[in-house]
Amino acid sequence: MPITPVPSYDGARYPTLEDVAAERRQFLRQIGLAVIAAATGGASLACTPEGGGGGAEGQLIPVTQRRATPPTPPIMPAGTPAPPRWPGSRGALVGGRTIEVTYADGSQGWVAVAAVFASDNTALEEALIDAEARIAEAVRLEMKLEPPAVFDDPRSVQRMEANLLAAIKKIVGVPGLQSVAIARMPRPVAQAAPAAMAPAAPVPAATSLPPAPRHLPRAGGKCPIHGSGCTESEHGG
Amino acid sequence: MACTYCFAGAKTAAAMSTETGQAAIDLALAGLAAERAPALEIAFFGGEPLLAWDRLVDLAGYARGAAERAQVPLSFQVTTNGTLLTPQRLEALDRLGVQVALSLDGVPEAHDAARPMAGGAPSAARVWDALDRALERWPDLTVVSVLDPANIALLERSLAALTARGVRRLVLNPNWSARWAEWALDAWRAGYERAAGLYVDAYRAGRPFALNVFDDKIVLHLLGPAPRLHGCGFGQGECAVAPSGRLYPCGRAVGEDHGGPLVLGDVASGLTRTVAGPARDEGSLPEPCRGCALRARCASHCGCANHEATGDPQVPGEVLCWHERMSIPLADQAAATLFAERNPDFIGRFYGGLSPREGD
Repeated sequence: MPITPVPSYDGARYPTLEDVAAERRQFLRQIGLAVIAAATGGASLACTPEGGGGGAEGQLIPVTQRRATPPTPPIMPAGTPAPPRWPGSRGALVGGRTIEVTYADGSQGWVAVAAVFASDNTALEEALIDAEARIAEAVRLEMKLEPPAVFDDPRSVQRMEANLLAAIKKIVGVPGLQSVAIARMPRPVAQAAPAAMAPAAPVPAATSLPPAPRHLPRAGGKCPIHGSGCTESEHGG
Repeated sequence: MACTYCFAGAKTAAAMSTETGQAAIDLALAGLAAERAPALEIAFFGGEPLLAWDRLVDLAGYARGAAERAQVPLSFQVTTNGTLLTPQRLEALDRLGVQVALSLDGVPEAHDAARPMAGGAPSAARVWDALDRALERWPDLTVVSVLDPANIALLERSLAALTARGVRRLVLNPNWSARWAEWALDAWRAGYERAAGLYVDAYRAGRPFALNVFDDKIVLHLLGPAPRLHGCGFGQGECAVAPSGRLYPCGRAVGEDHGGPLVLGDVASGLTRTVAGPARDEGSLPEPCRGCALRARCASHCGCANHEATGDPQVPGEVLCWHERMSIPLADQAAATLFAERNPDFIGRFYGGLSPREGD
């Protein structure tokens, strides 16, 4: 019974996460909104900083302060087969603060935008940081086409988020942006609190959990939440 | 106990000293200081770690204090044979925040086939009692079942019995170094086929359970078609400390702690050498695996399983290769069935929830 490579295989007849990205949008949006809520206080959001879980075992784990006690996903018992790494999704508040916008009627307001991506996608994280100004400009352009009441209509919000997702994908040029969430803010938040970091709820099993979220060191990297100089080790570079 | 397949080798009752344990914790925390998002997981492992109960409690307390000072998130895990899992210890482990995994191979015939007490007496009744007590406290308790030729024919019955008892997290841990005859492989395949049926039926009944040999394959498909090799922590991010203080790349590598080529150093001098781990990129895959369509989903990432089977952490054994070719299609069939049925638990667990499609 030698080692026998399988020349071809097409037996996995169910979609990958990428295949159903559009159908997962609502779930991923909850991660984005949880990030915004955690970063800004969330007073204006329907979604609490505790977020909304997506699945049977899913739950968002916002990190609004350094954790004295980490969340306790089951740990793989020593001496058993290592599970695959399941990076999950994390969200980051783009620019680390609210963005001042002008609506179609000329009135002004503030919005917050969160990007959601796989927690191990450091290339995208860097690109999002580098492109902060251009992303903010894209947000302003989008909002300039909308009335202030746009946030009262879920379908319009969905459309805006789809537009922003496409625009930000184009700006950053790095694959892996899963979702964008936008929310109206009642006031500017110049320096947001540490935002949420959430493993994408499909926490498949004790047996499939990664040991812990790990973030590769990023040479010269800036914090996606606070920009340069952040000392919060949960997300700072 | 005297488990026939134990990779810890001969039992010498050599518990780790407090000094060695504390030095290991200090070493781990010092090593994590340069990490950007450090986290320390400590697994108490044996032999039977509850034999050194007081030491376990002392070291857990020491680690808690040291980790708090270092501001490093800390978690504990212990794998136990259950024979010493008294109600008092359950409560104490709960208080310490230790995640418990119970070694239980299934129905009594399966369990006692390879897990007798040291004098040869059966242990199943005691461990099943411990299971009930533990499940009462931790409904998501992990149960580890070793698959061995001595118990493989009873796999379906064992899985059915464990899940019927309320176990929701099952880790099947094949004994790769066993001699697997043709009849045993046939029984293994039949057991997995029936396990796939149980797995699907459990989702349909709204009582899903986690089963690593299927879940891991499903997850690796969900992550996408791009080959992404997933190495274990063998010597990279994972380190086992023997009672002597020697460091090894994995708990399975300690054996009887005779030293040898897998020793990475010791708690006094730290990590002084590295060993090649499982393949983590296409280039380091062994030749026969490079063209395999299943390579990105293959369990050949387990360095110790490879080492046990072939003597090389990078080269998988033939039984493991057979196992992957056998189990991946079964996992895929189960997943495809549940996805096609839009099973809510399956969708929620693996996809995080999906919006209804047009026509749904």
